[in-house]
Amino acid sequence: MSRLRPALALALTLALVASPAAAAATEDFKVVVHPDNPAAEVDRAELSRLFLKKVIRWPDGMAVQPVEPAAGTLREAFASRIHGKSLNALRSYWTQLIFSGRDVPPLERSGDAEVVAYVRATRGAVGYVSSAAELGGVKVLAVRR
Amino acid sequence: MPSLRDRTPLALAAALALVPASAAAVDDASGRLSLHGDGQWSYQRTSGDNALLEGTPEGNYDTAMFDLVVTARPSEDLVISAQLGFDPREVGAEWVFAEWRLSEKLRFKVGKIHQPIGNFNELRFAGTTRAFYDLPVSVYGPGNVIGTSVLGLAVTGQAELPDGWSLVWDGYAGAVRLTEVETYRGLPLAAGSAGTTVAPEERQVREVLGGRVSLTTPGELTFRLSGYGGKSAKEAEESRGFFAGGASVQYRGEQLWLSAEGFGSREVGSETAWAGYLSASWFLTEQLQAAARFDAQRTGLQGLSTGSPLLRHTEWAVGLNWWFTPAMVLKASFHDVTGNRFAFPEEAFDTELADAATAPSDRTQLVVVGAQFAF
Repeated sequence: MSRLRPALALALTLALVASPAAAAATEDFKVVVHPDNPAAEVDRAELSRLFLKKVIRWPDGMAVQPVEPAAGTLREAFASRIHGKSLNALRSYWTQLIFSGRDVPPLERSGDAEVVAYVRATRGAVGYVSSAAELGGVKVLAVRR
Repeated sequence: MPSLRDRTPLALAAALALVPASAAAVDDASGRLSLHGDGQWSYQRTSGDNALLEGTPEGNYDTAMFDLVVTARPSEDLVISAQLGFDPREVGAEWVFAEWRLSEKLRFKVGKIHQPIGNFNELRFAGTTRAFYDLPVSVYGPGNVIGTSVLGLAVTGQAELPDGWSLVWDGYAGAVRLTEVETYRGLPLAAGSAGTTVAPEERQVREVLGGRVSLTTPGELTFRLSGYGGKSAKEAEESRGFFAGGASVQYRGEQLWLSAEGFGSREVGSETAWAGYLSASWFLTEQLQAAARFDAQRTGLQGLSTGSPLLRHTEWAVGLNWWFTPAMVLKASFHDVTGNRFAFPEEAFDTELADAATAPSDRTQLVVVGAQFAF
């Protein structure tokens, strides 16, 4: 993973949030992190690696703890737009990691409120929720293409 | 041929497998503990008098198995993981290790670890990761090539390279458990060699050093080079150098799955083996998958020139699978085998090979019908 440089990220945040690319990438969902996480943006490939556990630490050394909503249209949209894969292909990826003893899939929560609650309570957490979700106590990450 | 494992309870596992794919079948609120599992059952029947894999001439129903994978994360850096195999007669730990995660580039493991070699060795019991019910016997069977587990230390890591390429590396040291059936004991090796029985024999290759490098392209094509070496010793025999290595390629797309591997092994002063296969499968619909495989192994014995079928295995196989979900599949396959390296009369397990192997048929057909699932 190329490093999420906090200073650079902060400088780019406003422009990226307003950009059409960022809006297009996340129109169905928002990516959220703990408020103490210095990252302000992430590109699509980096975000994919975070959720596939190919990257296990944030640049400040904190362990990455991805959390996902239960299987449904939101998860399908995230899989397609961020990973470029179907849910079946992702299932296959995780089966290989689980049974080779390399890793287990991200934690799963039943809905937006539960994902937000977990992210709010967990410093290294990163999750995604529907665009309509209440986002109290978490920070939204801008997603670059 | 006796079952490698015979595991229960399957009904619970199958029911869990039909539940829509979830992150973990069970996890605690903090995500520090998760449970996963896999299982399988099949009916396997061979033609003629030979047994092959778990297939027998009269038909073998007794092939069920179930594994439970428990992963705990007591702290951010520490992972404890175990895969437990359940059998009516025994419970065994297929792997159990502690992993210290310094970074994605450096993780240390200690314990009993699946040997990282080839495309599938760490996934032996996860049938939903492949198109055929059983792995190709030439490379992954009891042929003195690839081990089942490492007892010792391992290091692993991965790196993302420019332009979407990625690299994964594994290294290990310790002892490797190796299984072999020595059908060729019936050959006239030396006076007094007859009178032994043929049973899967497990040994350790000790003082092992091994490793694997995997390079994946942006298009999900993976190339692997892997190998290991150490000292092999059977009971009451002098230890000998043992080396094995090979190359693998794998592609796993939405519709097409490909895997090809070639391996060689050498036990100094005793035995050499060459093994390889090519497997391809295609999803005709979202559920229906067709598969074909060619598989071969040749064994050579020091100081003995022979074209005996006891030293050869050549196999063609075709299969059809129905995937209910990526977590549960029904599989049916037909295998046509020439040679007796892994196919020989069942009685050879219980009686002296000198009698049982004098004239086994060198042609065997095997039919496998079964289900595999994971959660």
